[in-house]
Amino acid sequence: MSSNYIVTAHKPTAVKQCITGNFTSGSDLNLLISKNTRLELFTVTPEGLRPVKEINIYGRIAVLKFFRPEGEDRDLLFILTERYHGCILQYKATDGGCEIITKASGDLSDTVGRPPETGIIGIIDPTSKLIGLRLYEGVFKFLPYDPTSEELRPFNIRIEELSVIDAKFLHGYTTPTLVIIYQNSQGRHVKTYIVDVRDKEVVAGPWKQENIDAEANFIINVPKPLAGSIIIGQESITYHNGDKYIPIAPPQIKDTINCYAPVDKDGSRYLLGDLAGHLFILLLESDEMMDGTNTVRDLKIELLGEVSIPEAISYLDNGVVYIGSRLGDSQLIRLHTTPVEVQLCVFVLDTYTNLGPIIDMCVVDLDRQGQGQVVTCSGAFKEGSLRIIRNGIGIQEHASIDLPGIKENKGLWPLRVFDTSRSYDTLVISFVGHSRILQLSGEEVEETDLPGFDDESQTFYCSNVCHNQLVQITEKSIRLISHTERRQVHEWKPKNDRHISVATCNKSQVLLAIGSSLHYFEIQPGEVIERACVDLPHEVACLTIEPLVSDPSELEGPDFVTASICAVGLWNDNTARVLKLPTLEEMHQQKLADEIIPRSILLVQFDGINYLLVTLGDGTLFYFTLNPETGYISDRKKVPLGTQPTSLSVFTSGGSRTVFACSDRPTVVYSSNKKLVFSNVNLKEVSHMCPLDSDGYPDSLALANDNTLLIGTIDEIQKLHIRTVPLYESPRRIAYQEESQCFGLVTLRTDSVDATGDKMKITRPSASTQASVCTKSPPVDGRSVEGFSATADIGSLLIIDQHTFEVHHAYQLDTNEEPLSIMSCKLGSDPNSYFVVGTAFVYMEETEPKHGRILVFHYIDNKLTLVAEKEVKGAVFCLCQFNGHVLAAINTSVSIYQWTTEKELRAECSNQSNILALYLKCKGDFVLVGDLMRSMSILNYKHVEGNLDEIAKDYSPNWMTAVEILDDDNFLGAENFYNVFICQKDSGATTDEERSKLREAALFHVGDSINTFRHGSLVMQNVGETAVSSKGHILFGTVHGSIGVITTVDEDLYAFLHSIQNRLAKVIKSVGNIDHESWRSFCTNEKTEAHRGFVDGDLIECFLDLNREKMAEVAKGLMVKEHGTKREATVDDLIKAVEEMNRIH
Amino acid sequence: MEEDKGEILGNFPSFNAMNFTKFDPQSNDKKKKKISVYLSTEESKPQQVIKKDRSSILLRYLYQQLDKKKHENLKHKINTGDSQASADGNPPDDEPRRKIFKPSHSKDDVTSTSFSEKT
Repeated sequence: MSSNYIVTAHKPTAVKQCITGNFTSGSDLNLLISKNTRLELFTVTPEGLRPVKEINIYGRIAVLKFFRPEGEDRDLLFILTERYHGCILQYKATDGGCEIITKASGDLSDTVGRPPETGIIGIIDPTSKLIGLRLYEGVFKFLPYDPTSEELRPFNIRIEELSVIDAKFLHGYTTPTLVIIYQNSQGRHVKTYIVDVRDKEVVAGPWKQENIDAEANFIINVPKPLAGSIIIGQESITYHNGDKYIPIAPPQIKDTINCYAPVDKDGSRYLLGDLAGHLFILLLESDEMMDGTNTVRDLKIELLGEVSIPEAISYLDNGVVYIGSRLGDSQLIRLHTTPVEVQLCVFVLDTYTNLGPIIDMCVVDLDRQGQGQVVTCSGAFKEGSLRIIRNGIGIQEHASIDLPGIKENKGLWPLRVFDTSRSYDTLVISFVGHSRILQLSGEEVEETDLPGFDDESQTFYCSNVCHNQLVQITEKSIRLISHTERRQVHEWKPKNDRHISVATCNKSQVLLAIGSSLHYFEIQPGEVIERACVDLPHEVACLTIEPLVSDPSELEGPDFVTASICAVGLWNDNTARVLKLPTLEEMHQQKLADEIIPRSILLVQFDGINYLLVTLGDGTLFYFTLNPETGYISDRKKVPLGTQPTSLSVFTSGGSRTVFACSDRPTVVYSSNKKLVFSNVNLKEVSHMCPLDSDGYPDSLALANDNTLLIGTIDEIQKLHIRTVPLYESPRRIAYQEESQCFGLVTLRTDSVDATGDKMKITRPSASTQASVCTKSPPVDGRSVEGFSATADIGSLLIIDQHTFEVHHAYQLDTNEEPLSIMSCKLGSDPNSYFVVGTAFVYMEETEPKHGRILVFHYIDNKLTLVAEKEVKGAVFCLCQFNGHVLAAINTSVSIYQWTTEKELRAECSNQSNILALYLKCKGDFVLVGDLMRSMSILNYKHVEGNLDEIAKDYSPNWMTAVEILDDDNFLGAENFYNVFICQKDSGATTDEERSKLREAALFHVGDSINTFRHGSLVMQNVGETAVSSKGHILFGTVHGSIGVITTVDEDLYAFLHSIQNRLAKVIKSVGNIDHESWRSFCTNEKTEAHRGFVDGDLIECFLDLNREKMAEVAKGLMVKEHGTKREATVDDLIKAVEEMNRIH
Repeated sequence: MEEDKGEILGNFPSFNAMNFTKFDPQSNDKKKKKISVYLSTEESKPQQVIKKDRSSILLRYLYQQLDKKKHENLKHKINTGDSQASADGNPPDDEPRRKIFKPSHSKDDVTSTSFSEKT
């Protein structure tokens, strides 16, 4: 039994299709984007694209078409999934929302048939009466759409042509007429068919054209009045309508055109996009004939400019175009009527981040914050990039003021000075020996003076207090300043010229310490009155007098709440003490640590629970729950927040109390479900902060960050932040090396080859050509390539700085040598850390690479040296550090190489039982191997014999895309049909045969191709109260740019979540009427099996978006285990459980 | 060349002339709101069901051939002046053959039913 939880942490971002139509209403222009299983619906507005809804489909979307049957006032949507489930959807606006109505749905699969190599084709006839589908080779399925009938009856028609490249319905015919491009041994041809819906047959159509462009890949059906078809080829574009045949071979077109978008309703202009990211416009020039008809005279094409490599294009409105990209960021562009610069008719309005395809990734803790960041190899070709993804609370920066020296500031406070009734207008910044006052007028900030304010001392605390007064506490005195009189009205000075060491206050109470004596004051009109004074055993290090309120508004107004207790932290004995007010009588004390003194202390109430928070000099935070009646603190918990003294400030965010911990690792502490949550802030180092709600910056925070004063607002929830480092070439694999603080990255770029000789030309500046240092591998393989190719792929190893992401060094591999793998490791007893790169020599005439190299590099003192190289007989698909040796997957074999004292690699032993060993992971003496087509196997290294033996194997014919070791007995695999599975090793079995079989323990359909698994987590680990009994976080990256999390949960939790899942599957109605059970079932060409061993977190977490009533419906009858006894679960139990799962990503 | 570009790029069609006029990339950045996820808990049965096509292409082909043959027979008979059989509608020698095919159809195989009705 295996119990796991799988959830999407970052949704897919790669765009596969985009279409426009009038879906939400006849007068709305909508853009619908498909990202694998998700649809995003937008409305075009004067402000841009307005998001309407994201619609999740239980299936990978293969066909997405708008159509409008006769009599409808807006478009309907036809969707077909890759598992051949078809549905017709309609949008219906409801009060305050919308409903997606499934008008029709059903299974369109056939029992027999071979899936087509050229993909699923789905087309709708111009009259919207007939849907044409090519789902299997040699067969067309037609679905006549009759809105009035109860049933829709599709029928199959066999057509002679097996390899159909593209098909479209033609405009201008009374009967549905199909035009297809097909391929046979002679080449590619175009043919038309007339579909006879009544007799369910096709007959030869009005025209055909044999031997068209050898790479013709799609057809555009031109609407009336021009009517006809445009055939897009590799070298030519042809207009054909049966009578007229106009081909052009424009020289601008060098790369394959892969998508188009019609611009005009009359079909005269089209946008075309190619695989190099060029955007063209195609014009059909026409003449109007005497009889009023139009005929095409000529075709014209113009290059408009460069965009992200498009996968789909949609013309929106007024010259604005959406470019959907699978390999890079999608874009919103505006076409300029006149070129702004040479060839620049394209102006980018907006870009939409896309992580896909994630080829490889690594999880590192770059800022040493105890929280993983994911660095992905994303995109390909010119869209290749590294993406740095981290989770946290974001500060939206609104202003940053350069204030050299602010790093050394001692505190930051907001004041209401000029208009005391309204928001803050002044900021006090304290330094050693002086204070500065900044006035905020609107968005402007300027330095000012304040009557009665001592700006020649360091301010310990200052604040607006009761009776329209201001208080400033310096080391010399407490100064009370009247607003109305605009002068100091009272000053309290310590006796004998002693100095105040720490101080704090709230609206009416002041607490300060002079060495080890603690003084308590109350603020009255025009004076501060000392109410109590006690001597403590040691000097006071920090203190707090925050009133305990959960509603921040209780601190304001005439009936504000005062504090009834206060707390201090002491030097030497390192205790936290709670004292009663006004007597300063000690109520409770607690020792915090042996060596390290407390630096900041805070009393705060979250969700009705009182807490005492204390930070120590080493960045550790302790927190306790507090009983305000007795002063007793309990439930001590410890959280490492940073490495330096942390200061705590409380502020209000979204109506609730929130604590900001300023340190080298700024953290926000808040409460969710009566539990403290610690969330990183996307800033490097914050020394002090204060809330700032001014006219110019409402609900903002002021933060002292490095040499700037930053004013910004804070995100309400934590989310993923993505930073992009463009490479302009394809990244392949990445490895992180802590010792050199660098990433090793292997990439591939395409150079053009001079037709005259072997001269290569860089087509585009990219990471490997712009590195600080570029070196080249000496030629190894002197083989000349047969035939001439216009391009050559150049492989490189790049050394990239972990902070700046600058490329320090680029090492170019040999001609025809492609890098396939990289790792960073220490070898044998050698203390150095090396980057080890595996390559293959790739030649067109070889079906698989026959030789490659393992290269060992050392990067130190900004110098990269090739320490060793080893030629091997095959492609080095994967590398792993294995007990100080190099473990390599080379074609069929898995081999171990030893690092000799002469710094050479020596073959130790190998195992040859694979078709192609593509993926390796190791743990101890065990190796997990992922094979091209033979699933996974486990090898064991026997030190004594020096053998690598296969000890267990999964016998299913799975084509693997990634593998990972969960623990000693559980192995995770992802395969080609978008499924994941877990195999278990049965070490306790009695017979050898049983032991040698891996048992499938869990099966699940993810619906996306997983390229990489990595141990690690995007959220802070072991912080605060994590009640989730989960272990082993694994992140995965997919082709569509989504990042997911897999974690193992205990069986009780699994059973509980599983029953929530089953109920949710019933309560939440799927769009298109697809069953959740069948969507998540493990499905390959060979078999379909029910999913098990995984809980679908994407469905589970939908629970939080349900209304209370529906939540109750899900909870009804569910049992929950508590302290060993079972009881009926409440809605809150479910919310708690689901929120906890939600917090793992 | 410049002129060509003008012609090819001029007059972009407009659905609503106001669209994208107030586009401000900066405010867009700030406002870039998360798209809300559609969740439905309303019971909605599809109004139409897409039926499975269980008919075999081969069978339909054979029927078509049969039909053609019958048609030809009919023509032939008309040509030879034998109107007796045509009034009958079903030539007796076709009867047994169809019986062989019939059991292979399932009940909801509408395609073939409608087909036999037609014949």
